[in-house]
Amino acid sequence: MRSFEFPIEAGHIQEFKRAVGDYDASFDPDAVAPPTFTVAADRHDPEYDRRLRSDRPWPPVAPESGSGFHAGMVFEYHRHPKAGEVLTATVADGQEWFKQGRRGGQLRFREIVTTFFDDDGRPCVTARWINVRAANEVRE
Amino acid sequence: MTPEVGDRHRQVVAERLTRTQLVAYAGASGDFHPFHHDEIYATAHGFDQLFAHGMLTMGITGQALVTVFGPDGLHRYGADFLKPVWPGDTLTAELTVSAVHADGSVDVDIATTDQHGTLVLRGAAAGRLAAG
Repeated sequence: MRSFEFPIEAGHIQEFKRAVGDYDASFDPDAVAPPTFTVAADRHDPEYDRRLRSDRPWPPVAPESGSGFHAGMVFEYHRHPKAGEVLTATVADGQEWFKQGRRGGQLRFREIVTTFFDDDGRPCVTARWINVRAANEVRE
Repeated sequence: MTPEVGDRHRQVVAERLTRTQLVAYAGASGDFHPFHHDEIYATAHGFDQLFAHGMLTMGITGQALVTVFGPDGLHRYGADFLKPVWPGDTLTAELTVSAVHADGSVDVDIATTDQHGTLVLRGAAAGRLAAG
């Protein structure tokens, strides 16, 4: 498990709201984060590789390497974060399961669970990223 | 008004999605995977063109949830990404009440379709409806 800080910035909330279609979102210093906003914590994750980095080649992972695809996402809101807070994100492996694919092969689903804690150490949002790939592509 | 099972809310959440919006989402989310902004990369890897992040489709659909639940009424929101969403697509989210609980909270099923009626996102949410 690893962790990093995620400052909830009002300008970032405005930018995110506009990006998901609320084109006229204004700057609100007390804004409540929209439902999927915590996915943008990735920009603060030192391990995140879907961005240009000085220490890694770009693009980071070619699809043929079998890294799989983002199949789904689940958010649980213990409460909704607001601008001005600094959350602490902890990232851990979640559940894993297998399912028969439509084309006959077996698919492997894996969860990555990120829990965002507030200043008082209480959980604020739990986010489950679900990745899928063909089971025969899995190379540990 | 008291919600009932079967109540529906339909909302057009994206009209003719633009590449510009995909780039805006890449910047806002931090997800710069080239599938979502680099047409040459996407076609070289077997796609007809670049396509939207699954999380953009989920975020766009979230607008309908904010309409129904308000900015802080949601307790849970989950979605599966079923089909790629392409530039030019128009997306409509439909929320259907599947359960009403004694504490006043409701569960809804979520279906987001493109302009052809193809289901691109299927999900579920729970929460307390916004007043009014």
